[in-house]
Amino acid sequence: MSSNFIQDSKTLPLLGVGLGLRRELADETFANRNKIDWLEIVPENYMNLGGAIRERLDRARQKFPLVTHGVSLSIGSTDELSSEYVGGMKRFLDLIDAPWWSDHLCFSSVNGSYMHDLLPLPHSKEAVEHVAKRIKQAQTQVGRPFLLENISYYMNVPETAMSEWQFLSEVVEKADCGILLDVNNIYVNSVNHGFDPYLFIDNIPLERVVQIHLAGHGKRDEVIIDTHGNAVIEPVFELLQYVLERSCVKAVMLERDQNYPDFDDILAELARIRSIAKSAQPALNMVA
Amino acid sequence: MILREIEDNLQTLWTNKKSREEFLAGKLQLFKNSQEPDPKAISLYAELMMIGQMNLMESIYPACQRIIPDFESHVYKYMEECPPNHFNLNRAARGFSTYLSNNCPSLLKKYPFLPELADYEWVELEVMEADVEWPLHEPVVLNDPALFSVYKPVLNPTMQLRNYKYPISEIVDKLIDSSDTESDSNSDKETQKLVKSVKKKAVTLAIFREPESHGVKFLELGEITRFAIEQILANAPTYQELLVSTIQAFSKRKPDQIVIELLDIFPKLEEHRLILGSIR
Repeated sequence: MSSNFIQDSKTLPLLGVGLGLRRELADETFANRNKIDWLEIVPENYMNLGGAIRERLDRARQKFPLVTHGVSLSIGSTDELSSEYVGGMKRFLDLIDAPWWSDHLCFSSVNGSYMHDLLPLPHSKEAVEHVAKRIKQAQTQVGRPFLLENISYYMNVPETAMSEWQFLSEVVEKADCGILLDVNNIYVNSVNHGFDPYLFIDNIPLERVVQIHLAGHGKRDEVIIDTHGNAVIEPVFELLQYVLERSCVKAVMLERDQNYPDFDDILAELARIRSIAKSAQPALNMVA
Repeated sequence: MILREIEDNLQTLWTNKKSREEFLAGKLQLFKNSQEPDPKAISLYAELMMIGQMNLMESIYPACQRIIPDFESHVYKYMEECPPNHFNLNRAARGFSTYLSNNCPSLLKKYPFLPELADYEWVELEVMEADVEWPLHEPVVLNDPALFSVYKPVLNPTMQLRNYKYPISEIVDKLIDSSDTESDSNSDKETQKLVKSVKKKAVTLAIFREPESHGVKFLELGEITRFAIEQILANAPTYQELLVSTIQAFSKRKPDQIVIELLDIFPKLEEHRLILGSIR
């Protein structure tokens, strides 16, 4: 792979408006191929697994372009990168022929233990160097373009010395990788940590954004939590519009992981995303 | 403070109840004063992790959950005792049976079958998700003696054998029946009644996945069938070799009875899809 991600990303395929493949929604998802351009899958839920899981993956592969969105790369961990995980990811991406793969700017394991959550890193120079080095390592081993997603986080980690957007920008520039921009996470963090979400967007390298996530969130006491369990709210759609008007992305995607509504409601949210995409970046409107 | 220390300390606070309680009470200081993380946020992350742990364990161990009083606290103790060591979330639940055996003497005194029940629920998931290559085989009707020396039975590659001291399938069936038909309070009474009535009964189960429906089956095996399955697993014998070794192993029984029993068993196992077919 060339070292110039931005140049290379221009040749990545345009995927359009997609949905996360979830077991509970799989049949309805497959039945609505004419309204969904592509699917994103959580690779940990499919890697080295058979039976109904493999059958679902095969059905998805037959009908849709697929990309993966991992939760356990643990790119910020100070443990060694898991060779079992990275090797398994390479084989899995080869199987589904995904144009890119992504994971989160966080750590999820340390001392060999997985906490199975997306845990915040200090926004520090040390963390920038550490994460960038590991992204390069992972990207080289896997051999496909890697996108890093901004997470929702609920605490400032000790040794934090820069803003979240500065942290994200420095990591992706240094690692020379892409961004999976989650506009709901920007919104959640902007409320919880009291910053202007548009300031975030204006200060990251938008030319590196390949994919966008949207989702709904919930509230727990005083904190907004990124649950993926509610409808997308208006300010998040507005952030999507703002980003699309200033970038040239390949894919936009809706995440819904719990508290599932009627599938027609999900299709309506996809239609809303599509209409925003149509006005801001007409090429993204693939199926309509 | 370097990144490694930060991650170590946060992990301790998020996943170790005692340390977290000390930290929240101001009795444990892992960071410099000016860098102390927000206690509310430490609690929030710990709670979010525990919700995930509880959801996972409830989904894999519904029968254990019905029996174990204060299941939730056992889940958290288990996760502290056996922290997840694999990227696949489900695998975090793998050691629950061993945890119950090693850490819960008072529970075992009351419910001695619990580790077997947990193993039964775990193995169902493991078989359901097993990534296997389905072996080549043909549907041979053994209607000619010559075929017995040529063909070998092909076992379902997802199969796992378990020898339990308690009739776990019956316990699970009754637990599910009582929770389906009774109100919560009646159901709890039924559960306690059931638990008291459980008697030891050694069983061998073959647990396997149907290739077509992906459904998991639990099949109780008699001693001859169990021996035959173990022989197929170990030696991949022809049908003829299998008949001979079984007759030799059960030398106190009449050979013709064993042959009749096995000839009756083979098609039944094929119907269940424990034997998939035959191969030369």
